[in-house]
This record gives sequence, structure tokens and C-alpha cells, in this order.
Amino acid sequence: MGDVAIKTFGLTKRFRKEKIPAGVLGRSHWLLSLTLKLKLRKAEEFTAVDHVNLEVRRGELFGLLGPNGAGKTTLIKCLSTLLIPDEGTAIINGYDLLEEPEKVKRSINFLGSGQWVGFDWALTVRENLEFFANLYGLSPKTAKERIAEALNIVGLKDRADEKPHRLSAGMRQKMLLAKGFLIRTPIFFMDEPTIGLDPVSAREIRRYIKEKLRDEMGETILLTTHYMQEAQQLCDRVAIMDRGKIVACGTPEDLIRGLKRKEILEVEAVNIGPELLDEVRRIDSVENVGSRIEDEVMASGVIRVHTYDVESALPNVLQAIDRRGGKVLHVSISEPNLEDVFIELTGRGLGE
Amino acid sequence: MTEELSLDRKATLRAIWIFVKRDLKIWTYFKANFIINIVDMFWELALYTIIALVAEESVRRSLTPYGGDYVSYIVLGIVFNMILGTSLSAAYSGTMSAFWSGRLELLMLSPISTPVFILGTSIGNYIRTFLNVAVYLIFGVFIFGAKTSATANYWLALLYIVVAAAACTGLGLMAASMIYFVDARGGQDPIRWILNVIVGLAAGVYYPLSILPEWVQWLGSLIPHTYALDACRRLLLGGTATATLPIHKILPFNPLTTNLLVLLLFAVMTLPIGWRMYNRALKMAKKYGRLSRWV
Repeated sequence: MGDVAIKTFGLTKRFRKEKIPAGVLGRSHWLLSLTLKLKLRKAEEFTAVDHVNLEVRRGELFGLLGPNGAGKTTLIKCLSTLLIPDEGTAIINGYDLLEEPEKVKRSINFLGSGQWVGFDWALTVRENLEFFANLYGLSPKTAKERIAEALNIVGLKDRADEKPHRLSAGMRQKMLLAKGFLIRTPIFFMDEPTIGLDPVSAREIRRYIKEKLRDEMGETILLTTHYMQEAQQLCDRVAIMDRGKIVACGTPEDLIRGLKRKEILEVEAVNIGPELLDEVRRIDSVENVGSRIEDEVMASGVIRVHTYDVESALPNVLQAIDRRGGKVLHVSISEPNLEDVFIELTGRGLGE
Repeated sequence: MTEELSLDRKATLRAIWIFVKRDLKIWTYFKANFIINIVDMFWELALYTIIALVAEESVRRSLTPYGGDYVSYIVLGIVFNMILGTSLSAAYSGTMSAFWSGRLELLMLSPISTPVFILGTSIGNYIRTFLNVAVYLIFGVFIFGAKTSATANYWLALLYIVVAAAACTGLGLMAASMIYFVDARGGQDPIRWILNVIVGLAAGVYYPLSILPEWVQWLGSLIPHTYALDACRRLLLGGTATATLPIHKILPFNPLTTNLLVLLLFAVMTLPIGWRMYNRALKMAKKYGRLSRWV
């Protein structure tokens, strides 16, 4: 286990599907909850993380790539002791997840997603960071230095004395990142670290994660992302996750190299819907189709069509888009990327 | 370089202090609340003084074991009930506040232990309660004429209130465990709800228990508040050593001794049970993904 920082053994997590009606008492009233709890004993279960076996080496920047709902967050919450798995276990920094959770806790840093996680509206950005620095046992001198450094990295130095509710959504995400950058533990779990950031800030944060935390500090980083480019640019190795399972694992280059030889048609279009994708899938020379919606209002985005005969597929794809009321903005033959690996393995895109 | 997180004694004290500092910041955020709170306390005491003037004749005999002055009786009842109420609610409100703000997961991931978390969130509540107690006492003594006896034993009264607070902390931990056992996240839980019903009706906060039917008096005997209030009033207001609670008529001891024994028994039973229940509840939350609003 010397050079392995994280190793999971058939890790599984299931949840009950609970549908609690609000009722006149409200969803959180104890009397209503108690009554419904008895009924929910036989409620249907779904498996969020399904027998995951994973190995992350020390000092590695490892990415968990998958669409929303793939089980990435649940997996890192299990690994960080916030959830108790139903089956299997893991060794984190040499400690057994189930037998030594306190030691695991002391070895890890966790950066959750969501812009209002744990911050107090009555405290300023700096005071909020001071609160967490104290909880993590930093001395006043170290806390002051680290807070200044973290604020500088995320670009909130000038907003440090403002209350969080005065910040934009992207800035609150930066505040969350600053909290994560306060401590230097051997293992760092990051859940969608660049979500909600503008492209320039996201690039800066990625650079800091790679150059400072991984290269300079030697931290082992396990990050989740649904941004294919983030995984491809940042990570040494990537595990692709879908419906709770790891469907592929390797370096981005190896995963892309492992794709069957075929051509990839990238069509940028407006009005992309499930019916259109189904129609494209039915075209003879088309093997797989995936899409990524970039504008929900316009339903515009990119369709990636895997085909073994691009000349025959292209007119059929364009006709299908036209028939479904769509509009083609741009067509190109694309180089394969991690999203294509996902499409090949699951038959759909990361954004679906 | 990287290192595993750890908290030495100094860091633990700093962690507790940061909870208190944060709580004080939050309370002083809305300044109007402070003023309204103080006016409210004055009004509550004024109301009870009026009731005391009207009802004093009819309850005078029942007040003999407590020195006979209804205003003093009610002022002590309110302030001691506030302290015990804080012990009862601290774990629940600390956990709920952390839950709704999404901070609970972060606290669970930090190296602070659960007792430090409970202590950290409780101290701030106690400070606020003691400030309120001070205001009540100032109003009670200087405006409404409440007074303690010349033979008042403050240290012994403090001992009773500390033991009762320990017992209520145990019950409070049980109440906080209901957040996860029965999803009591709406600000109320079955344990505190039942206890508060009994406190209001049969703990002797507002009137002597002896004016109530005997079965209601027995109901009051099931909670630590009754014994603590009875003992503290005897110790601070003077009066006779007559039996006032049903259990005084059964056990062959002085009422004060009986009260202390019962309170100790409550504390010895409720603290470990409450602690176990609270830890089990947190484990259950981790099992079912309920540490935060989002899984």
C-alpha cells in the first residue's frame, strides 16, 4: 500500500427513494416524518455507487468523470467518511475507512460543491475563513498567512471584508475554494471545483491545483468533474463513472487511444432534443451519438456522432436536424476526446 | 508539505472560542432584536406581578415552603427555567443550525470532536441566557420587588442547578438525536415537546405544584426541572422544610436531600443514554445520507 493513497474494495452505496408529501404539518415535522418512516421501510432502493474498485496512487491527480447523477459525489462522500457505505470498504492514506474513520478524517481535505455550503451570512468572507481555520487547528499566525494566500489565489482579496450574500454566485464558489485551500492534508477530495467559475478563474484554479497542490505540496487529489476538458487537461488518470459504476479507467491518452477506429462528426445546432438524438441514432452508418447542451433556453449545444462512414452519415444527420425543427450552426470532423470515450461506453453524452 | 490534521489543547480552546465569537456576531447583527427582547422581559415580569397581586391571597398557603412571596417565586422560576431550557435545547439547536446552514458536514470532517462541537455551540447559548437572566433579575429585584431570604445559600443552589443542567443536557442530547431518528428537523422534536408540556403544566415554574391534582403533581415528578426549582427556591427564598412534591412523602429524607438524589440519578442516567443516542443518530445520518440537505 506504500505508494497507494486510496484503494476501494467493492464500495457500494444505496439510498431509499423517499417521496414525503409536505402535508399541512410541513415535510420536516417530526410527527409526519415518524408516520411516514414506518411506511418507507419497504421503499424502493437505488444504487448510487455500485461495487466500485479504484486505486489512486500517492501524488496523483485523479479525476472522476461522469454526468450529473453518476454517483461521483456519493463516492467521494463515502471516501471522506460523510457517508457510511453499505458494502465494501476502502483504505485511505493507509487507514481503513470503516475501522479507523477518525484517522481517515485527519488525513483528508474535502471541498464540497454548492455556493452556500457552511458559510455564515453574518460573518465576512475573512471571518468565515478564520472560523474554519480555527476548526482545523491552524495557529493564528498560520491561519492569517493561509487566509491571505487563499484569498489571493481565488481573487477575493479585495472582497475579504464583505459579507457572503453581497458576492455573486461565482465569487461564493471562490470563497468555497479558499476554504479548501487553507489546509494541507495528504489527500484532497474536490467535488466539481471549478463549477460556476468564469473561464479565466477556472484556468487559474486548475493551474493552482496542478502546480501548487499536486507538484509542490505533493497532495493526492481526487476530483470529480463533468467537464470533459477539465479531466483531460488536468488529470493524470481518469475514471469514467456512469450510473454508479466505473466503466473505464486510465490516462486520458490511453482511454482515447482505446476508442474503436471511427470518425467523429461534431454538429453544433439549436433545438436539440431526445427525439432528434434517437432519430440520429437510427441512421445506418451511425454507431453512437452523444450531446452536450450549452444553452438550456435555446436547447443549443453540440451533437457528437460516431460513424464509420462520415460521407453517408452527414446528409442524413443534417436532414434529421432539419426535420425536427433544428438549425445547424457549424459542422466539423473532430478529434476524439474523453467525451467520445463516454459516448462509446454508455451510448450517450456527458450532458444527457 | 502535507500533514495530518490534529488539535492540541490550545487549538481545541481556540476552536471553542471561535464558535462563541461567531454566535455573538450573529446575535448582535440585528440590534433591534436586543431591544425588543429586553422590553419583552420587562413586560413578562410586569404581567406576572399583576397576576401575583390578584392571586397572592389564594396561593399564599402553597407558597409557605418558599418564603411566601409570589413575585420572588415567579422571578426565580423564570430564570432557572431559562437556564434548564438552554441545557435542554443547546444540542438540538446547535445541530439544527449546522444542518440547515450546510455546516454540519464540514464540522464532521474537521478534527474537532463531537463534545467540542456540542460545547462550542452551547457556550454561546449559555452566555445569551445568562445575559437574559441578569436582565430579569435586575428588573425583578429593582422594579418588581423580588428578594432573596437573609439565609439564602447561593452556592448550594448553584450545585442544584448545575446537576439539573447536566440532567437536562442528557435529555437535550436525546432530543437532538430525534433529528435523525424521526427526521425532527422542523424546529421541534418529540422529546422536548413532551418535556416542555410537562414543564409548563407541572414543574412549578409559575405556581406551586401543591395547588394541582395529585396525578398532575406526579407528572411533574418525571422531569428534573421540578426538583431543581423546588430546591433552589427553598435555598434562596427561605421557608419551611415541609414536603411539596409527591416523592417527598415517600422517601424518608429531608426534601432538599431527596431533590439532590433524584437530580443526580437523572444526570447519571440521561447523560450516557443521551450521548449514545446522539452518536447513534449521527451514524444513522451518515448511513442514510442525511448529514446535509444534499446527498
